[in-house]
Amino acid sequence: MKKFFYPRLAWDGLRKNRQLSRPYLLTCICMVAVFYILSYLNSPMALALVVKGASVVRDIMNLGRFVILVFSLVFLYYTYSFLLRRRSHEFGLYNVLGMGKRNLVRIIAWENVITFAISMTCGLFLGILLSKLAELGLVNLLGGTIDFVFRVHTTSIWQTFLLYALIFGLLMLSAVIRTARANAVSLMKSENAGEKPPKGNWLFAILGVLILGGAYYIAISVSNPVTAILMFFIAVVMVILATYLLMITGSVKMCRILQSNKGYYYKAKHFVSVSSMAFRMKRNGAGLASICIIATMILVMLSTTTCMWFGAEDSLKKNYPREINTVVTLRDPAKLTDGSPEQAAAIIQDYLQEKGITPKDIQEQRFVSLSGVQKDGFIQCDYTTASLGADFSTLREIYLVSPDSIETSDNVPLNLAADEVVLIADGMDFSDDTLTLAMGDKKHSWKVRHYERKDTGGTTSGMGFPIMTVAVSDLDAAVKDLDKGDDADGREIQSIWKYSFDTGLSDEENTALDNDMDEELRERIRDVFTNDAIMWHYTESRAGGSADFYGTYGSLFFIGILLSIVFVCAAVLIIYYKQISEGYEDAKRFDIMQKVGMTKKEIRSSISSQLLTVFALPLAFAGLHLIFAFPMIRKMLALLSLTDVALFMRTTLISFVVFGLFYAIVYRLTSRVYYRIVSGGSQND
Amino acid sequence: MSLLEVKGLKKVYKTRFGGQSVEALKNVNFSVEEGEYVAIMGESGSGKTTLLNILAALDQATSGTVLLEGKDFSKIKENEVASFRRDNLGFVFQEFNLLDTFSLEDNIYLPLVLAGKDYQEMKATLMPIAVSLGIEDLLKKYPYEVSGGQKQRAAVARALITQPKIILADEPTGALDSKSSDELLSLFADVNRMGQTILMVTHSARAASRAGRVLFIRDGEVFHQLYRGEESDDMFYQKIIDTLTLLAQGGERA
Repeated sequence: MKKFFYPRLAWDGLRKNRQLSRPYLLTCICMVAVFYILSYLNSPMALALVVKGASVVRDIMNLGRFVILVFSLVFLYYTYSFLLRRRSHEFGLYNVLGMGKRNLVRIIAWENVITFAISMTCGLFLGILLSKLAELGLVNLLGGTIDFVFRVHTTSIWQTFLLYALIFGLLMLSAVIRTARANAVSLMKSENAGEKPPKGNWLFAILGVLILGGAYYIAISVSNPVTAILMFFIAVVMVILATYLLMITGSVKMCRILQSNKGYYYKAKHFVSVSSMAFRMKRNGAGLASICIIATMILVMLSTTTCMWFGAEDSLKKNYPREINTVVTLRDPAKLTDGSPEQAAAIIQDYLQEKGITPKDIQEQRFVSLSGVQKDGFIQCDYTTASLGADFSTLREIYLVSPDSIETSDNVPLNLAADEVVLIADGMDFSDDTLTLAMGDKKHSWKVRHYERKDTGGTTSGMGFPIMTVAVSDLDAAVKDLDKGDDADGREIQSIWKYSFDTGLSDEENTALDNDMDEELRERIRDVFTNDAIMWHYTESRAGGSADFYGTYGSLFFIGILLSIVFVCAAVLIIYYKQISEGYEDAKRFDIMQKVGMTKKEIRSSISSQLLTVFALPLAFAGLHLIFAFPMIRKMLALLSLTDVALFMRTTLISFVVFGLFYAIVYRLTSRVYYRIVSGGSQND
Repeated sequence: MSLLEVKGLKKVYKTRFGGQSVEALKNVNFSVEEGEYVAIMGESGSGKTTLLNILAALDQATSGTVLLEGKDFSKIKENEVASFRRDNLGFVFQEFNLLDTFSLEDNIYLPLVLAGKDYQEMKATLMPIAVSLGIEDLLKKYPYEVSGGQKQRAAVARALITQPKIILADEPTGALDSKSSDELLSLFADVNRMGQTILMVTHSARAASRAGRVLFIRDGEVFHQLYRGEESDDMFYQKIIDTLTLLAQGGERA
């Protein structure tokens, strides 16, 4: 009997505080389950089922696991300390009744052990159960063998067990330290200690506005996708900081300003609401800011990963315009016009004929590729100065082509003089009369014959830069003036021959064909162009590339959804706890107001308007953050060849609406708990 | 006509499950004249709080009538109760019941704001009251920043500012030290001298001895009453103590 005294007391403690401990337990279970699922998907056992991009999937699942672990630690610590604070009265009572700190610590330790045991058992059970579903989902997304074998990965179980044992150990340690420091009276009191009226600090409020403004400015002004990635993280940190500052002090300051406006403040409608809001925001500012940050995180994650997933096909086509592409990069542009390309094309065609494959939609491209920075009146093409640090809006990709590769509207071949070019600009405007390319000190100028393009594909390059297609009468001569030859960074001027076609074969056959061509034709094609002239040569297939594409985007999409679920759980828990703690605080106030002469209806409407404000604030802020993050994320997506703005806008909007609906439902449900507490309090008195 | 008339008041509480019923008030009859200062005494469980709740229109009697200036409480419509309470009654509670989210000033304004009064008007009404209660320097402070006595004076100001017909005080000295209690009771006496009717529930003989009349309640009935007449506070106090002793002994014998 005596042996089970502490476990029993601990169990009773958890049971009596159901309202608080049950959601906490559910969150623990959810985190354990998700961690196990990710560990399982990360195991060789599950990866074997995935056909496309297993290595990418592993990396991404590992990243997801790490995120969950860190989040678990931070979030469980946050909720657990909330739990302890609410229960400090109970512990104080035990202390007054003669329990020493040592005994209290034992109760707390037992509570943690019980919580851990329940979370582990239920979490692992749920995780194992749902891991099959997750596996099916992932395999379905990425393509692979669907079977109905139920797998359990013991190593993952052990990892989950040990890591969460560590987390719970840390939680317990923090609780023990907290209890050891407190004394009985302060434990009894801590919940209803007199509270200073919130002041609302001008400095912090203004700082919050400035930091937020700065972050937004960065977000909309960044034009370089590469710096966008770095700046995005800076902006995120700034936004988080500003959100906390604004929610905690800015909102209080706002209430204070309203209060100093006597005409507005001393109206029955505003009087109670405004003054309670100041206190409410002071107490809940941090919680609201957390909800806002989590909401923004979910929205960014969902909208981006869904956009990646649904844009994958498009992005793939942009990177691989045909099913099979053979690319030969040459040092010498002369090789493009000396008949070698025709020979190489013939080799490929013969090879395909032998195999019984008819190429369709053949596209043969010959061009000299340069990239440069648009300056005042000329384009500087040195790769070193045109490094990625430059302003991206001035970066250009330049393709020099021979006149016959430009399709004219009347099919009459272009006749170009030696100092004349025809220029087609994609993704930019070019109306100058001369085109000047510079390489180091060397420059070459042409007169521009403006030309109405027949084919209006209107594409930018894979990286999202504008492309200038320039037809010159003599490729060789054009380059000779500029070429500096090889340097340490490679060659700045590359001559490219590209032979692409569709086959109409299956993905597997295309991948095989790509490998065969790469191997069997390598020597023959190298012979045609002569080995010295070739920088590199390869054949690639869209099907082969799609493995990496879908592996990456599919598993990011998958992780995005899974992590969103976890974050949503966390947000729900914060909202729920906020409603409960506010309920207890408001119950007393509700009672007083009634005695002083407010009708129940007045009180109720005042409270519900306050609750609604508190509810809508994080969502509104999250929406605002999202709007400003949009241009920045769009630029980063462009790096991944995802340039479909309309698609991204759609996924963002849908994510917001879905999340908003869900949030509203959670709000409805949790306010019920709130009203129950509030009205229960007034009945008791 | 009396200001307040209570006739045959009865209150029965039913437990939520099953038919067990508890009679909190059996048959209470008394009346309060305008300008009177009446104390109601009784031990815990005697029905004091129930009586006060009914007088405050926070609770309804099972039977019997309460008339304020001839107006029957039970005839007041549900949605008018709050404004009736606001316009006619002032409350002082043991636990002060100040809202911690308001400064003292705003706490005092609360009933006026609810009644839709203008800020300038409220301010003009407040100042003389604040001065007479000695809290004019504390108005900007928050409840947690001031002492219990000061909180209670702010609560009195809140009760007075609507110029109520009657002030209902529920153990107003219950949470105060003896010095603050004495100050508050003197305040009540002053306010009463200026014509304010006060009805105070207490079980402190010291507090009751400052009233003009004391009603003793036991087991849900008015058991006895004492008039001060021309007696001093101390003599009246002695008389109350004697009555309480008698009551206690009578209780034991019965």
